[in-house]
Amino acid sequence: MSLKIEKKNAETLALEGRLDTLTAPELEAEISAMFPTVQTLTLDMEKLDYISSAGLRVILKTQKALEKKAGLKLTHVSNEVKEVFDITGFSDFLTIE
Amino acid sequence: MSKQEQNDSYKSQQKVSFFNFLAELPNFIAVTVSAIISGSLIVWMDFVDSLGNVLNSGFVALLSRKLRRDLKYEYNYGVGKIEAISSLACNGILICGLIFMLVSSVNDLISPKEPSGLLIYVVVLKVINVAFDTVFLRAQYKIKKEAKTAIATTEFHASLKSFLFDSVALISLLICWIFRDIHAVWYFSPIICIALSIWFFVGAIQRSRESVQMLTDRTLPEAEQMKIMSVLSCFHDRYEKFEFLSTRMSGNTAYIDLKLNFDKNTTYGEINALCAEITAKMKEQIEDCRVSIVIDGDK
Repeated sequence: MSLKIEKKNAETLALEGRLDTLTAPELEAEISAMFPTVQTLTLDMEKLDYISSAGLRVILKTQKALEKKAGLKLTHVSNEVKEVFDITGFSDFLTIE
Repeated sequence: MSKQEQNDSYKSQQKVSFFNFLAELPNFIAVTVSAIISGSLIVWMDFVDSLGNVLNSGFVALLSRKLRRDLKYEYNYGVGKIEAISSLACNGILICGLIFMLVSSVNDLISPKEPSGLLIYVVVLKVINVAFDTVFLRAQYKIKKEAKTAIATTEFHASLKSFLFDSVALISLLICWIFRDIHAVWYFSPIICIALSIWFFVGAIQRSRESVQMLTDRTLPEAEQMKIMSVLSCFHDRYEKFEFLSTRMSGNTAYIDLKLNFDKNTTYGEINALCAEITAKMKEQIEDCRVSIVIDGDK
């Protein structure tokens, strides 16, 4: 299963499918392309079924890069993905709505 | 162990291995001649063992010399892979020799040969050989006790194996020579050879397996990778940027490389303390791991 990245607007990406070793580089490339102009980034995770450690790396990298700007926001996070954030301690510093 | 102590241990190792190599050379020539003359399988077995010792001691002497230099910039991940390739090559030669010995032993069991009368000269040679083995075993034990390097441990086991093998060979040759007129004793040499070949074979296969494991990097299991991410999240407020994370399994050791950037106001002491804390926490989560943290100097 792959990852579908939909650009909802200049600062929002909607993710669908699995964010794992195979698909994490796609998301990283998409986010990197947005970096020069973006002040805040929202990742809509409503349809994201699974996140692996490779996905967490991209999230951490993005969060740290946007820390001094308006930051990274995760929305509509499913219970399965939220559990991964909780176990790894990512929930403590990520903005999850 | 400090760098100086490690250097000293490699120096001692180089010296012992070089003398071992020099001492093994005449023995190797003598054993080769003895094996051709006597035709005894135990002596041919000794030839295979001696060939392994010559190659091994020569290589370890060279490697110890190289390891005394600071190789940090030449081999970022240490010299484990060099040792593994060499070990694989040495064990490959040993395995080929052992297969030859096994086939010959089975052949001699089917049609046994009378032990040669010249065997007594080989026995004398073996006594000198065991005396040399005892000296090297003592020297190697001393090195192993003082420096707990991988080479020192491997070499101690090699010396112990050599001593045990030569002692067993000496006793077997003596029995073969004393009771050479008894027909049943003709089977003694091939039986001892088969037993020793299997013992050596198991060891060689085990060492080859370890070397292959060392040479083939595997992906770290997802559960372990999650643990790493969990450690990084613990310290997220103490670094400015997370650049990359690279992980791999080599043998049973997990290698974790990561690059972090810091705010220009962060002091060297703070960065150093954080790196030590991250490393300690990683080791707490993944017992056998090596952590390399790269800090971008320009930031």
